[in-house]
Amino acid sequence: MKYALNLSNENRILSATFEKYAPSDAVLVDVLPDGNIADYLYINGEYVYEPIPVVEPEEKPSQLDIVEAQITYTAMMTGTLLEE
Amino acid sequence: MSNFVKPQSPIYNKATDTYIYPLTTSDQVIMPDGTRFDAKNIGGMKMELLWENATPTSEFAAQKISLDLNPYKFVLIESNLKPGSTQITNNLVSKDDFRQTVLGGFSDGGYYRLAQAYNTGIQFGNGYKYTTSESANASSCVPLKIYGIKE
Repeated sequence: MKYALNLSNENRILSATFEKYAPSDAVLVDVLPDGNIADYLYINGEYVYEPIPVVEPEEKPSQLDIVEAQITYTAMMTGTLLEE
Repeated sequence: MSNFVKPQSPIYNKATDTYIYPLTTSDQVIMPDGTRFDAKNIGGMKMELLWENATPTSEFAAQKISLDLNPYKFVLIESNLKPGSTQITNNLVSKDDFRQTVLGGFSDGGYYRLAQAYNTGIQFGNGYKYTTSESANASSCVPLKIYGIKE
């Protein structure tokens, strides 16, 4: 059984289907990599493991953080900042 | 209609006040009222499997699945809410009206992905998951099968 790869412009594997559903210009392979195929590139007939870096979402300031920042800013501007 | 069977109990989606009907066999189509019948012959129309995901538990980035959809009047997209889930959604897309369709449903959060059919294939957007906020999730609503339906 063969598989057809759908590759991105950067040769990352986007998805795989079976040969019988493949478009005529599809890249056909005999085996698929284990695990998440989206972690692989397909370059010169070989799989290259290169997971997409996980981008951690920026932590948004809480309402309390915002209020504290405003208080501190006001205190600094008015010269009333308390010394620890 | 052949292979008519009693429908399974639907899963209630509280967020959208709708029901999801689990599809347990790929040879059957589920209608909005929960009845199901042979996927290969719908009232004189012929249904053909055009594409099947060989790695259904892998992530699925935004991409186009190239298919010749010219001969078909409708396209049916079967997708999985999340990898390994038994919650399957089926989206029937009319080629007379090539608007975007939303693959999606609700489980431990909302899952969705947009898709749009063209004569040359189906363009899938990014997957998203929504809990307290929305985030990209390539495992959301991964397409499993694409059928073409013609007279």
